[in-house]
Amino acid sequence: MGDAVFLGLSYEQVINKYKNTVGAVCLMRLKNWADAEDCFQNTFFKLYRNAPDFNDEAHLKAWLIRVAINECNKYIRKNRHHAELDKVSDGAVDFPQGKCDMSWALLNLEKKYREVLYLHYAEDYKINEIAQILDKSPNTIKTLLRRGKEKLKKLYGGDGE
Amino acid sequence: MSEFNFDKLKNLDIPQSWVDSALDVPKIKEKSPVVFINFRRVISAVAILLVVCVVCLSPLFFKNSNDILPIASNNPTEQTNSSQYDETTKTEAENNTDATEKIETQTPTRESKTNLLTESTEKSTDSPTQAQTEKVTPTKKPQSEPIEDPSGQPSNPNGSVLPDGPEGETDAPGAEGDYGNLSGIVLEGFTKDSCLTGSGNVYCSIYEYRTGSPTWSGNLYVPKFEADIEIYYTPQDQSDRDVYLSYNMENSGLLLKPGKYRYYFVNENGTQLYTSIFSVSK
Repeated sequence: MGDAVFLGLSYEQVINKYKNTVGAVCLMRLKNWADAEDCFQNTFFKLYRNAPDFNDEAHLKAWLIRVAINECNKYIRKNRHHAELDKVSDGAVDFPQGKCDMSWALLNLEKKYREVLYLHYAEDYKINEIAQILDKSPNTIKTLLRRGKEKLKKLYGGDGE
Repeated sequence: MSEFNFDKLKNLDIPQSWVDSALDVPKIKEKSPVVFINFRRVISAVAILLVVCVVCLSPLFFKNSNDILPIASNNPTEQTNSSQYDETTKTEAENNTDATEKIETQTPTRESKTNLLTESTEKSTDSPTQAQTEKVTPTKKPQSEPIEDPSGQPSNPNGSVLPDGPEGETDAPGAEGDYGNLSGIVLEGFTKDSCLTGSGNVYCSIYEYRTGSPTWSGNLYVPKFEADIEIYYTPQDQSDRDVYLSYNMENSGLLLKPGKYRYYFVNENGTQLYTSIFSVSK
């Protein structure tokens, strides 16, 4: 394996550290394990191939998320003539419906809300940071977040905060 | 912040096979480092070498042709013949430039792209098409007559190349009416974000590699983060972001004969962003 080092972390350490984040982003986007695996690999391969200079680990993590999203978009583009991935249910990610955990509900939301909600609640990114990662304005992110929360609550069956 | 709990998604049990596969990719890559590591650099180095060669050698060619003509024509009649020859070639050249002008007026979109492409070389040449040709296949220009080719391969406003031109045209690769398979061909390129002016247009032009005749110029609209563009996020230095350009030929509706082609990505300012070669097979 290569001897590439990213902020003092070896390539393998980076994969182990961020595999959950990248995996979750890919799964959220594609909702299918097999498709997500391809994008997961491509994301880390691009890290290895491009070996960008990162300022800190936050930068590295944001880069990985951005590239993972790009990879998923590219994957969807390449396969759009076969089937709309969102409509594929066979082999799709299926989390059991639970009282506490709402991962299942998140996956049933529209794509545009999924990332924003996940980055905000699971990865603890602030609105401005999400805006930077997704290259959207903070106001757009705020709106997506608010509407996504409402939809999530409706899906979950809750009645508000 | 804790009103929603996505722990299952956050703490996914990523299969070890995913990690192993991700680790294996660089292993495979290291077996053929030239292809993966230096591919872009090799292309740019070759391109620079070609340009340098053309710049250095082209005066020699012109000088030689001037030297030979007077030596070959020692008597006055021959000299007059040669001068007549010069005049005829001059008029032919003028006719050719007229022809190209006519062609360009017929296809104004192509002209604008041509201007974008050859902005730097226009100072020395009147005809943008000629300049373009020199840029693509500079060493082969004297043999081929690429000026005539555009009329033979008109492009419609949608960008698709129409079937064969006038009879007798043999410059196009492949058999007449026999188009290649474009499935799986994606024209790719890399550039820096600073080379793109906002969310604008990127022009994609395709030329026959052998003759240098323009085959198609397309207006490839690339809004950031959408269909055909991909930006690797580097928030600390926005201008240094790597931008990936791609154009899927499969969906382009183009009809290209089997052969070798060169493509250019050019931004709105006419700056060449990327160029490379692709082949169309049967």
